[in-house]
Amino acid sequence: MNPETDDILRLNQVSVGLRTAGGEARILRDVSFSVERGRIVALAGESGSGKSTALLAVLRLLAPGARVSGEILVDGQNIVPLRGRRLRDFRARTARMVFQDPWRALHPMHSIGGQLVESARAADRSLSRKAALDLAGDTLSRVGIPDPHARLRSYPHEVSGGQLQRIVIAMALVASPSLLLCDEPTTALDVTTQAQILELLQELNRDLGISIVVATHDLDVITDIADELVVMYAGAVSEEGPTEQVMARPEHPYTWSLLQAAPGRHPGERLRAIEGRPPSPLTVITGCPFAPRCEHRRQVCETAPLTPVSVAHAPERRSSCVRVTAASAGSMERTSG
Amino acid sequence: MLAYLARRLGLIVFVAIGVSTLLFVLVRLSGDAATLLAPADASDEVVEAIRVRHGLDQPLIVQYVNTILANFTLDFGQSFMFGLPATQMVFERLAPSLWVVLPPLLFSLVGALSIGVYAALRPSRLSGRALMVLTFLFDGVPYFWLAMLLVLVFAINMQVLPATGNADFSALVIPWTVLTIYGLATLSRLTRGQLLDSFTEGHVATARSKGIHPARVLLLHALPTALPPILAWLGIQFSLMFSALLILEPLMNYNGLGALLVGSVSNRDFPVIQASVFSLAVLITLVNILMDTIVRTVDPRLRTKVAQ
Repeated sequence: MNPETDDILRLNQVSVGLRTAGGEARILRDVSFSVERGRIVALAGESGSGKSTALLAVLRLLAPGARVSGEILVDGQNIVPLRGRRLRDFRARTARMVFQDPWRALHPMHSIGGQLVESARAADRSLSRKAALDLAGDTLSRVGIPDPHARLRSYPHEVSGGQLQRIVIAMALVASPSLLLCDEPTTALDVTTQAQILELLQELNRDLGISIVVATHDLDVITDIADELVVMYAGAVSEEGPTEQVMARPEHPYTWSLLQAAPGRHPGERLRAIEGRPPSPLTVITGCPFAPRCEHRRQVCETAPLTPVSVAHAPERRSSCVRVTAASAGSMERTSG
Repeated sequence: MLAYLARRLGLIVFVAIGVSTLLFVLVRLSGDAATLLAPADASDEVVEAIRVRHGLDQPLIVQYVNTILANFTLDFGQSFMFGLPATQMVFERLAPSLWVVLPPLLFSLVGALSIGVYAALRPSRLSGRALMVLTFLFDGVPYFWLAMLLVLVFAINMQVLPATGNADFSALVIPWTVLTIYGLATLSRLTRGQLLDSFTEGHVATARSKGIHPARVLLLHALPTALPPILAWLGIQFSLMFSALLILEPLMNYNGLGALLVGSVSNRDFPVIQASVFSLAVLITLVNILMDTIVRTVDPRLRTKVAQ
């Protein structure tokens, strides 16, 4: 870990376990990655890969029985041991969440203004109701809501999905957090509004310098705005690196398969699915979790470490594929033709 | 809101016609009233005179129309047994019965919210589970059995409470206890279930993610979305409690509507039966409209007219 980089978020060997009837479920396995201040980082992976859990873990919003080990540093402070008042203050002021489905994220019986005011005053208790309401109105117009003062009196069911997601983002912004965590922020929206929401996130990142982590299963949607890409599989990080580089030359067979599986990649052909299924969180994994589904599986994969390491020919990138890191030979494109 | 209330209240007319019709049919199906009204050794002429006096000799359709029209002016005729206007008798007994039913309704709401919230906050802890087992026990115990048990223990053995009567407040302790336990069982399980559902909803996660105090999350975020089914059930609980009075009041010799109704059924005192059932039906409908109105007031989704 590089001391001179200014990381707003850093996960160090974070594991999340949940005791279930079927045994201990490992939802995150030794996850490490970092988010530099002012950057947009995408967490990519299919459902069940642990990307949402990673975001929830950062806000300590996991199910009550979940056990977290490792370090989660937000602005240099380890938030794993936080409790009570200090945990609430951290949630209120430092890191805010934008959930997938804006219809579910807002309270159906509270006015939009009421919810924004509550959010602003949770972050700054000295704020008067009036001042909070003004701030809420200004923030709504900042995220592109027409007629913000009328909207403050509306209820969520009276507003369209695209606008609601802007409102959810505004609800986070009134707290002026340094970190915005977005869990599939566009998945519940239709395609035209998806692009607008992503544009808005990019704009907020550029103008306010707010750091953003976006969890997504849709690589095509996110690549335009993300500086860095963290690819997750079965609760572990497969590879990590600058977005264009990862997209152009994946250093992990899973990333490669994921890119191949995207619709539109091979026009006119049948969609390419990845054979098999991800392992259940209840299984004990030795070696590379992707090995059973991997076309390039070798003997060494069974003993491969879970944590990605730097790729020799591209130092800013990391991969957990032993074939890549051990040989440091070619990229996936070369090996898989 | 006013238009909504007016519309709902208008529907009471149909409830009233329905209840009147049903009562008219059921009462006629149950046997010949004139024979019953007459003394056991009365001659046919006497029975016939009684029939004419009470209008029971007219064609059924005439009796029916007269009954419906009279019902709407709250005129149910004179009690066969007591010679008093049936409506007056019912209204005199209504207040004591409400006095038995309404406090337990409030107690069970408050109690159920407390128990439900406590159990929902500790769904897997022993104390939360124990409370739920207790509510199943409450549900399984018949209220009349519980009433008899309490009378036996507190009135007969310990002699600290009166077993019967309207005398004073102490006579209400046993019925209040029984009805509160009766209402508590379902309501507290409903509260717990609704709250547990509410906890898994996205907006509660949002509230937590905003760094809001857990008590505020519970009271202002989780509870409001859990409340509508609880309030709706409260309306149903009101009618269930009133029907329990049909057994509890005669059992404890309490002078309320329940005892009056049961007494007039065994006497075939049609006017009183009709007056009591009619009033009860209207009352229960009113309570349910009240509950629906409260639910509409707290839930803005129900207030919005269909989008333009």
